[in-house]
Amino acid sequence: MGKSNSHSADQSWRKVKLPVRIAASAAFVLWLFVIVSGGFAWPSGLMQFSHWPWNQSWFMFYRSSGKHYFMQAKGTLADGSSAPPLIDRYFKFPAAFHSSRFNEVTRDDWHVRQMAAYLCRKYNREAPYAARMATISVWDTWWDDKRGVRRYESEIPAAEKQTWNYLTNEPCSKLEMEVPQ
Amino acid sequence: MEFSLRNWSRGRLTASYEAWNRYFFSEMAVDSLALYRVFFCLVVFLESMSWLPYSEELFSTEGFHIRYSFFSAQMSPLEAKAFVILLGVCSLSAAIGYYTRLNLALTLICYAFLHSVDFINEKAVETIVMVVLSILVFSPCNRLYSLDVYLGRLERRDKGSVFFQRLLQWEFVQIYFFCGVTKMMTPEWPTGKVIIDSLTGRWASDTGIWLSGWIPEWAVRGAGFGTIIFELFVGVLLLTRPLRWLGVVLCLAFHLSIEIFLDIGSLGRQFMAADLFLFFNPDRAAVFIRALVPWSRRSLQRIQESTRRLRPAASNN
Repeated sequence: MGKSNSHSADQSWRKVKLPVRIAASAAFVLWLFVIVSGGFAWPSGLMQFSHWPWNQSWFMFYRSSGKHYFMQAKGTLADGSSAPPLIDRYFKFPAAFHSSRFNEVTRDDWHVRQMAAYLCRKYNREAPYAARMATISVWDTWWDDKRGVRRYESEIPAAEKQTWNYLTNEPCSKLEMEVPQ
Repeated sequence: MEFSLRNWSRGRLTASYEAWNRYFFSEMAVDSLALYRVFFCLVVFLESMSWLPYSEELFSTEGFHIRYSFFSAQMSPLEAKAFVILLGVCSLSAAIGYYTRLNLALTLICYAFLHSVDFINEKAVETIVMVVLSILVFSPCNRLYSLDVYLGRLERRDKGSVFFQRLLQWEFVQIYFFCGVTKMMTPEWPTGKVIIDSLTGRWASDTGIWLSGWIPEWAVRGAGFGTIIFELFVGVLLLTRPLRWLGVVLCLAFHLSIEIFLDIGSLGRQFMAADLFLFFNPDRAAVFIRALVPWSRRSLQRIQESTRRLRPAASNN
């Protein structure tokens, strides 16, 4: 036990039958080939040759923007008044600092419309008919991260913030029809 | 000349064949693999418990999901909670070694299913966990430090084929290496921009934010460049004998510093468990582990004896 089995006298591998050894060795070589070819293919721009699940683990923190993106949504009720805050109500899981799962969604039209439809549907299912949400707006705000301090959106001066509107007063009825439940 | 060349090449082939077989199929102590199973599954258990209060949002039809996958979220809030509890129970059972193989398989199924439901909150560590579970299911990690052995359900085996431990080693080494390749190809890494962005960004811990306030520029650049060099070459250190200890120490320091400065879930804990248990020579590690855990053998014998006394009929089965 005290000595390493790497000594050439070690013949314990012979206990594993030859067909098993051949199959296991072939599987290992194939596995390594898939990983190595995919690992070099992705950064070379040949993404189609990198395969799940291996490629999921290679891109941890491989790039960053230096900005904090903060997506928000606001609903308007049928009587024209504002709906209560939606994000804090339906997205409670803390995905990161100052960031719920709502803020983790890919920034494109398709994803944002899916999310807006979810918020409309979810709110209107719980609200009385007269107090249903009629329209919804979704926008993204971002600002530069600053060394040494954590900053919430409310603490950022307006001059430092930039905004992009994805949806402006989009009718909930349209979104609910468009996006399947 | 020709004759001797043939002999020489035949000799080299035979030596390579034997070396390959020894490397992959030798019987070696399973202590380190079994302890890796314990720590790995405990980390999965703790992760599942952190999901439990949010199971409705993360995994049920009440939460928001992007329906990429075939599975999608079709569970009610109660079913989602039950599924997360099931994952917790299975991973804890696998950690303590109760019906180990079955519970490893169930943990893999539950984990993969929950992963497929919540793509929004997807983390890189989740695919690593699934790969590791797929390998552990078939490994002899249940033959030591498990209730299955203590209760006499499974025969204790001090040694087993090292093949599965080798697979796990290569899995982690390839992650290090290709993370390094990817960073090398990203212009922001050698300049340290990603390092400082990470220390000021939403994944930073309070300590990371504090560090970002005073860390000098040269240290940021050094950390960026150092990370690339570390990730590209640490695999060689981990897989070769003379400097393996240095590789493990560097890896532990690397992941410990990430744990301190960033808040990114269970990734660091999973890597530290792998670095600590998977890379040392299993036979030498076993000597160390058994010296460190003297209760393991004594308690095993005591429990086996009392079990035999209490259940003579069962032990005959």
